Amino acid sequence: MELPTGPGHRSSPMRPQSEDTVFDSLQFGEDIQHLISVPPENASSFTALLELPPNQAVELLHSPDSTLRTRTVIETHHQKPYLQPQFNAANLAFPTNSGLIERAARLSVFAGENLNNISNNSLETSSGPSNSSANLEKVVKSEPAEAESDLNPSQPLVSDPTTVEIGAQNQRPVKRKEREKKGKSSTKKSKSSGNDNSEDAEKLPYVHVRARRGQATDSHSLAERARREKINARMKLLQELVPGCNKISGTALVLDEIINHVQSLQRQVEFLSMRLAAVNPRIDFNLDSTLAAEGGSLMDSNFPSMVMPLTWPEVQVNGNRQNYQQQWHFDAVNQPVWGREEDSYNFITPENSLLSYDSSANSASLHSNQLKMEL
Amino acid sequence: MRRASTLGPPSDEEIRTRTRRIRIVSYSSMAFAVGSSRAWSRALVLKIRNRARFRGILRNKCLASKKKRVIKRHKVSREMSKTDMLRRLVPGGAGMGICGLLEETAHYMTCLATQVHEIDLE
Repeated sequence: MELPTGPGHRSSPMRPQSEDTVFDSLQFGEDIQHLISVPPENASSFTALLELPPNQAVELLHSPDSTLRTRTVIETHHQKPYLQPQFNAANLAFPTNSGLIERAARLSVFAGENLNNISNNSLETSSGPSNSSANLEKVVKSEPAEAESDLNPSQPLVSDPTTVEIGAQNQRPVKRKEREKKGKSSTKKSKSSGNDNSEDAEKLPYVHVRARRGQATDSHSLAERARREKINARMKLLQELVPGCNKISGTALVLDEIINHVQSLQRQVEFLSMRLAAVNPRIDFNLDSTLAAEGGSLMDSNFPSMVMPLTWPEVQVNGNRQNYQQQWHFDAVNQPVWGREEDSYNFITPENSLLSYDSSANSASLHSNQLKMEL
Repeated sequence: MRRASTLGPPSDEEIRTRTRRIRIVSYSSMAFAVGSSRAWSRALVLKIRNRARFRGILRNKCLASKKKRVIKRHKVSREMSKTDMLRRLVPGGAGMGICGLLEETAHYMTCLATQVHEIDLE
């Protein structure tokens, strides 16, 4: 049942919706109607929907039409009998009875592997798996039967019932658009566009790519294009960070602005520290000398002692920390695209530690002075 | 142990040393707060540790090798591309590709902005 696969198939622009009329004439249309009306309790796999063993499901897919053989996904059933292969197969081959397609799409989406491939501009897909139902439109690349990373196989099950309702409204207009663009190139890019979690891309051995019309589809250019898009996405992020950089177009000028901004920030830190030094005549902070200890062990023991006074206030303000996190998360660090939300939480701590910097600095300096004396 | 001069206005030298220290402490606190999850914070922590560790040692070494200082050949000053400048600015930027560099720059910039904000609050 191995279908011939290859790069050509990857870029095949054929859509499942093109099979509309073909499928309508098939006799298992009523089977599918039946399936729509009977939501499975535990959709452990899409083939459970069909209530068929995987092989038979694939047979069904194969039998009706010869054009189906261009669907290169079929052999993916050889892989782990997880959601994704069957989903993809079913995703492509099943007719566009709208309800079934939606469910199929959503189920296939929650196979999870296509989480990255969402850059559907019509959908706000960058905000997590619940919106990745847009993957309905993604063509699945045909892959040799290697072990795919089982990307949260439980996740689709959990979110399955919820998304059936959630994405319903989204799916229809999307699909309509899909049908309109049937013959044209899709504007959707996949391959870990920077919008989405880049670390998800690293988890997956295969990323599904849709090549644009008139663009080369060999692996090298695809990789280059992916890299370029990644870089462009990051540049866009930086542009948003730097004030006044939105109007500038062109990478070189934006980079100039970024460099200037970083330099100005560093100069500001220097200037502010000078101001602090001038304003607060205090006991010298023996950080350098304590750090320049003879033994590494001593230095290492100093570091925790240095850090501790700074972290104590953090512990104290831990209660406020949660609020702070939310604040900061939405104010300053609104880059969910990085997916590094935990970093934004970490990034709160400089604020907390610096907030108490002055109060703790004295205790810290006393502490380090004590250690110095003990030497 | 050095004590601040209890006399009148602090001398420039003192201010300079204090400035340096405050700056080092602020950077190190920022790097510690971020932890080891980002490359720039790791590089910053290492840089501060090494600088502190080697400052004493290097001083002696410089004195010893002053006689034998070789005249440095005038380097061909090539145009510093923007990415090179960015690498210099962001700690730990030398060992990263453009992609990682941009990401680290963004995170570093936000942390720097926070730091400025907090020091400014005083």
